[in-house]
Amino acid sequence: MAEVVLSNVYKRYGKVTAVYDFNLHVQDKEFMVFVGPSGCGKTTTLRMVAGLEEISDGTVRIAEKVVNDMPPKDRDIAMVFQNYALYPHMNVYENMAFGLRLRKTPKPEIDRRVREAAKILQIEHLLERKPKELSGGQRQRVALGRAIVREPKVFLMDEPLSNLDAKLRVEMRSQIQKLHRRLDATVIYVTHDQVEAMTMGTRIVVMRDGHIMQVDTPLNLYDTPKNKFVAGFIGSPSMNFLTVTVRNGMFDDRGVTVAPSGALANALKAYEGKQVWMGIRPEHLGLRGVTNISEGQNVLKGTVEVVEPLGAQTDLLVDVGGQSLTAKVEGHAQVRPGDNVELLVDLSKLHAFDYQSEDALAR
Amino acid sequence: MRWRSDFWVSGLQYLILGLWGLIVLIPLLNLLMLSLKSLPGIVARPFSLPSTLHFSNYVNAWKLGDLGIYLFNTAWMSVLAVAVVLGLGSLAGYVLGRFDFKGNRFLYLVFLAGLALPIQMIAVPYFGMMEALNLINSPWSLVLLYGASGLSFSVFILTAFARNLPTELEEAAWVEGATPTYVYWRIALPLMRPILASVGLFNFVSAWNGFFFPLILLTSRHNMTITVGILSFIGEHLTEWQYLLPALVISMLPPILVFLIVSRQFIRGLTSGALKI
Repeated sequence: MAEVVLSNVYKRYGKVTAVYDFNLHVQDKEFMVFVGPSGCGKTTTLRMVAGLEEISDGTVRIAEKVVNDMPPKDRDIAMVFQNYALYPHMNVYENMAFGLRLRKTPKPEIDRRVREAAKILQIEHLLERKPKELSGGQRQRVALGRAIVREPKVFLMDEPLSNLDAKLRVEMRSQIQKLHRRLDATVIYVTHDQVEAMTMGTRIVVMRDGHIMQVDTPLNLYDTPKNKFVAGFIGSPSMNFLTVTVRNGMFDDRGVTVAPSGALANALKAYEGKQVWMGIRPEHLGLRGVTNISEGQNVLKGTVEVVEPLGAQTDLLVDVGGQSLTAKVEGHAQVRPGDNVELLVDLSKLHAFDYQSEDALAR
Repeated sequence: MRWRSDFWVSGLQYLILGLWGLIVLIPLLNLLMLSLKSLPGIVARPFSLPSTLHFSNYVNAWKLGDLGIYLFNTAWMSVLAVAVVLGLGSLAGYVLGRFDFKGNRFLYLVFLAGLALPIQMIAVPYFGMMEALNLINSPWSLVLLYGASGLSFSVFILTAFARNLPTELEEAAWVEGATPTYVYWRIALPLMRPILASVGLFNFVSAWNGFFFPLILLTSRHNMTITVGILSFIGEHLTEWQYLLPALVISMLPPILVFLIVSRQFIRGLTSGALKI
């Protein structure tokens, strides 16, 4: 059972705290993604699991063993680095066999494992080449291969796709997912790319300034973000936030006439006369008269500033009472910059956040 | 018009480099030319081309001057001195450049302090030390001297290089189970090869061309190094130029040969840091 459990983990560099009270239980065979902006502590946390950073406080357990004081080599982990970290003076075979040779694995066994990993990753023809003779994608495959051959309990991956171009990234993304299914191992994967996180993770840890903001499945994060940060970080284009005042249980402000329903309406009772953040994703807005969203008290009135026709959809940048929002509307919408438009809000997808704490109000 | 200014700039660069090349090459060519002349030819017309080529000068210089013995002594002394510098220097440079420990900065400064010390200043105490160790008239005294004196500069260069080695490579090796010694030997040292070639070459040339210390530390002919050994052609009343000059040419060849062997690595060492490893 290769569970990874972090309990009350802190990382301090002198007076600066990089990770605060981190608690997480990564299940056996889970694909856990750490996501967040630069400097949020995701890589530091991963490095603490790897044993490359000392833990200032708390405990890290791998497969039920406390590993705080255990050197990386004894943790039964393999790590894939952002810059691949391939040894430039060794060929691909030697790079992949390095860890096994260190562990005094018999030669025939090394050869079997290296060739098997090379076959899985389709790099059999590259085994004699040096890293400098490989493309970025090939290097990434070798780095993965080096991790696979060790057959570790836990794979740690630190932004392994961030140095690849967009097309290759998509390709490698699916390859890593396939690999995860095939190896049946626990993976902790760090990325700053929310698309990567959403598409790959069994669960996602969203981090900010050293704190966990939310841990959940990709769709739960999308549907029920706990706070404004998670709501804005997950989803592309990101969620629109409008400052609105609650009047008679409605969001009533310049250009905004929206009456929330259900649990959200109940939660708003405590906010009567106060400002809140109204959150709505671009894909949950539609052009009045064209969209399938039914009409009621759910209208935003604004002026189109930018039109981006993308074929399947059109992205509109709309000014609503001095606040900008993005709407993903029907593909061939006949709209031009300067047009006054009315956007309908899908009320079932409406979010609201406390203006001060930015926590989500119940939905 | 850009191509025109590029043309003039590169033209000027070639002109300056060409002139510099001539300044360096002319004395060498003159030496080569003089070494093939007879003694009267050397004395009477030092800058003219030789009328006949006296290759026998080389044969005679080799036989009369015991150049074989001198070359052998100088070669093993220089190679061992370089081995000492590279062995200790790379270890010290790696540790000082990669490991953060108390006293790191102090140790680094101790090495650097050696750069400020003119080596001739230690001649008298060093002679005393070698006498106590019974190493007077032994090339081993020079191995120790050049090994130690080359360390300051070498540690300075190697520490700077080691600091810039990619951390991920070491970390990857640690995760895979390597010890610090293993990482030094299998990862750091191969990556330091270009800079080791440069440092090795500098130290080899310096040990090979050393004159002052062999002169005071070595006494017998069969232990002599080449730079002092060929002085035997300079007599009180007569200098045998026709042998001295070929001997000088012969003494120059090994460093040139070593340079040619390591030149690729040497140039990579000089340009290291400009590109990622």
